[in-house]
Amino acid sequence: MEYTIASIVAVVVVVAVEVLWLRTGIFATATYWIAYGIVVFFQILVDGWLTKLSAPIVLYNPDEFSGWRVFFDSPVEDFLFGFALITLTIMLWERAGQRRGTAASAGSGAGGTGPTLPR
Amino acid sequence: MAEAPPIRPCERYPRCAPYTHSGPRYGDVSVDLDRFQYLLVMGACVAITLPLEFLFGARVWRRPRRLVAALAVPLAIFVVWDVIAIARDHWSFNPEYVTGWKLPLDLPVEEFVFFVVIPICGLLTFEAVRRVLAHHTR
Repeated sequence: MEYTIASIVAVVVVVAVEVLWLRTGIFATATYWIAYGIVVFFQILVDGWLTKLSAPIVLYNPDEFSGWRVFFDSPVEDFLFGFALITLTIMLWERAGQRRGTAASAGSGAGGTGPTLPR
Repeated sequence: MAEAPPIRPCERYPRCAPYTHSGPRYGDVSVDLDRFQYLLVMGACVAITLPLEFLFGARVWRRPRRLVAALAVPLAIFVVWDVIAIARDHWSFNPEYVTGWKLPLDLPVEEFVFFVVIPICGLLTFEAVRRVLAHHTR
């Protein structure tokens, strides 16, 4: 169950880093959640290709994950893993944008639907 | 001393000979490409998301310093996670579908590529959604 535990810890840590430290505000934006929904849809396809039991590219040790496979045989842990990877990256992307002064902040801040154009 | 018989073209290139063996042989395209399947999936991810940059104006590839700033830390963290997970046999890779090319610490090159490509796809999606929403709420 080590993968199970690690993937849950990763999600908790990433959320904690956002809420307690970086505070980019992405969780309050429609932009983030819509984008994340799209990402999950494509993750189902791509991860499914990697994990499908008919011709797997990645092989999972049954002792180290929950055994719960979804869609195209992807371990459910992969979706926690993916959430942590994508969300952390977007947080840091926002952080890097916000640090580049007020102009960049106005355009690239967490407002999501803010006055992004023109850039 | 007998001379070695000349190699005929169909011995050198078995696929030109229309006959008898079954199963894959050297030179069969499918056999060669299978090893690149994981890398090709990653290449497809780059190709499919490229229009987000140029048609939706995502401006991710065109902000390379910000991109590196966003990718570096997750890349480091997830590579370490991956190396540990592989060493502890949480997961492994089907040798049929990976190149076998390894980075230090036994990290398949495909995994490194994954941790670069997939976050970029996420950022392109995020920026494209932002542009679309901004357009429709102006």
